[in-house]
Amino acid sequence: MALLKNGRLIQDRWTTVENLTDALKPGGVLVPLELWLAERDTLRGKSAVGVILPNDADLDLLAEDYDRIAAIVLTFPSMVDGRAFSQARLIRERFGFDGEIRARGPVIADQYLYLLRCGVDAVEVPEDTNVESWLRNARRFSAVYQPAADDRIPAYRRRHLVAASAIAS
Amino acid sequence: MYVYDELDRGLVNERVEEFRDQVNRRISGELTEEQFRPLRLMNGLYLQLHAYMLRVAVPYGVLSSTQMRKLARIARVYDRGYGHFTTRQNIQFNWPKLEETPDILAELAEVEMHAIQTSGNCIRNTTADQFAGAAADELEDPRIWCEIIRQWSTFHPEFTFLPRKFKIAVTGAVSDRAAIKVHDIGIVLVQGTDGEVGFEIWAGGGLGRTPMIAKKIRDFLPATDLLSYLEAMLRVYNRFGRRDNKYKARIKILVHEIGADAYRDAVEAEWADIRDGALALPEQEISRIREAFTPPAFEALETASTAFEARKFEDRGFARWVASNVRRHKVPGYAIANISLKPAGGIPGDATAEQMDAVADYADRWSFGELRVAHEQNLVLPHVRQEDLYDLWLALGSVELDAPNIGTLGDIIACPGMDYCSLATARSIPVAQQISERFADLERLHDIGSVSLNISGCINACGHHHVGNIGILGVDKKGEEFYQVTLGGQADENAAIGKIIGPGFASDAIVDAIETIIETYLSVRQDGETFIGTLNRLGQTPFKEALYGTA
Repeated sequence: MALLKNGRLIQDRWTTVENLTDALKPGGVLVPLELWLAERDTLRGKSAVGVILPNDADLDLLAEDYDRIAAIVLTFPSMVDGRAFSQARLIRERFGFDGEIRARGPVIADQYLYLLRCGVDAVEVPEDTNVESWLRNARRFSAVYQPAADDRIPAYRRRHLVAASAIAS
Repeated sequence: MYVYDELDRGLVNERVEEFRDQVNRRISGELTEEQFRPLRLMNGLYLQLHAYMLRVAVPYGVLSSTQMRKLARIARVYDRGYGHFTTRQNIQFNWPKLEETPDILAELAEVEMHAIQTSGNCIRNTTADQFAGAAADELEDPRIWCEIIRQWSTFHPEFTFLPRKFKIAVTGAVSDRAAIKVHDIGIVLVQGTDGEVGFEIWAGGGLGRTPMIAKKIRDFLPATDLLSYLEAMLRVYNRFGRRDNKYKARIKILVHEIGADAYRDAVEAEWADIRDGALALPEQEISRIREAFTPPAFEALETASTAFEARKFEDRGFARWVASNVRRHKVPGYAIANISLKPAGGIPGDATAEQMDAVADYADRWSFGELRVAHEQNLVLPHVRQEDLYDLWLALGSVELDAPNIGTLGDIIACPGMDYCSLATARSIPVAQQISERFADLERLHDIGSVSLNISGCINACGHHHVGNIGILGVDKKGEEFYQVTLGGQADENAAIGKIIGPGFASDAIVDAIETIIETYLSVRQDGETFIGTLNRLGQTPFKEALYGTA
């Protein structure tokens, strides 16, 4: 798998590990939530640790940890199981997490805009992914109708900003 | 009516291009059918028994004459000359070709229409009282709030892959014509202590396999907080609604399993965190949308038109049509004219391209160019001068749209059933046709009076059989179509789920069974009592005895 991030396909430098021994080896590691919860004190010393969240995880479990974790992996068991969209927004907007949030699972290019808007900034994709197709979808819409985890201004505010600035100028 | 600004127009055009791209990628094989399916569904494109079906959104049931003419053109050019109006106030075309659907969407975009989110596990077309802006018993026009919800729910990044479909209905009137208590979320406009408009919020209603009446979640929600509260309600559902079984994935099951109090607590906790954020509706935007629904330029007329009264006296057929199809308007001298899409022996909700063009002309001539689609699968001209009703009635007769049967046994709601639908287990349309033919005699139909009869061709209940005074559910019993009858359903402010009366009936016996039920009602009713009134007074016993004998 490769990683789609910042509009480019890059090599994924993080390794998914299952146990503490592997987790403590050098390099960035992604650990299951249970391992993090059990070994939190040991793992906190390591700089590059990411946590893999099941899509029904209680986000409060990490309430004290968001500023110590470098990455969070959100799980999409199928492209139509949308629970992680809510998780992404809450992690960004409520817990103020500013590390990498990546999507893992069979999501497709047509969902890229929604992922980005909810705060996901990296997607695990096959090596032969047509990046242009993903980027086209991300850029497709010139306006949004609702606020989300990104900084786009919803139409119901933008309309009046435009009107106000037109009057001012 | 709401008119698109450049932001709205841009989004709908961009959606057309997105869908064109998706269809091309499907045809080239870049998208698998499994990947394409949820994408096409979110554009209202179904694969039915014989062909694709395209469901076009009619936001909260409002159409301009220009839009109606476009629907007629689409029926003529891309389909077989007709369309089918649905219980979600939408229209379905039954025979489009996959490769032509992007062109259809492009044509729709020209008249500010689309098929966005008419299917799929997302927020569907918000429905409203079909008499919005015209009803005499209305606090405020619910379309203002429907349009605000339409925009917020369109391409919502968080709520496009929900556990199941999600339906919202809004009413601003005392009489609930929008069936809000059988919706995932039902919204009633209410007045706050200072006279300001706010909302009463209901959740967890629905039909399908497990019919449920919604629970009240909040007595009063300030208008500014509408979107933040809806977002909190949807977020709790998206995170905690079941996904293990599609029949248990609707919000009604979540509300039922954890209880309305626990659901409310979760929503309120979520809402507390977001209500003061970016979702708070700016006053300017509420005003902008409210202005879009400014009433048309009504004339100052006498309350009663003498010409109109004289016509009723002279022409019995006209008087009968007025009695069943015309409703009171909030402005003196005006009336609401319902156009029945239920001719005796016809297919409920179907209209030909010629009929669509004709009603578009009538709307221009007599109703400020405005039309509505009712969830009962009829059309409405909302603002007709009483003195124009006679000419309208004559004109409707010339295109076979003058059936005087709104609210009667002839006004049957029916899903497409096994004639079109791949989910159906029995046919609905032929049963509806036979019943309406059996009761075609107008003297008899009007003597029977107000009664709703709804037919679904499978347990998914698209024909709303649970909330018909008489409900018919078609099931498959060892390869034979069987029809189960329920009595006592209501979709209005006294919403109730009908109860099964007894063993089902074979397809050659169901019409007789309905006639037996009606004859029983006629023999035991008291003066002025409707069917549901008699049923509520006497219970099921007399009907049961008439159908199955005294055991």
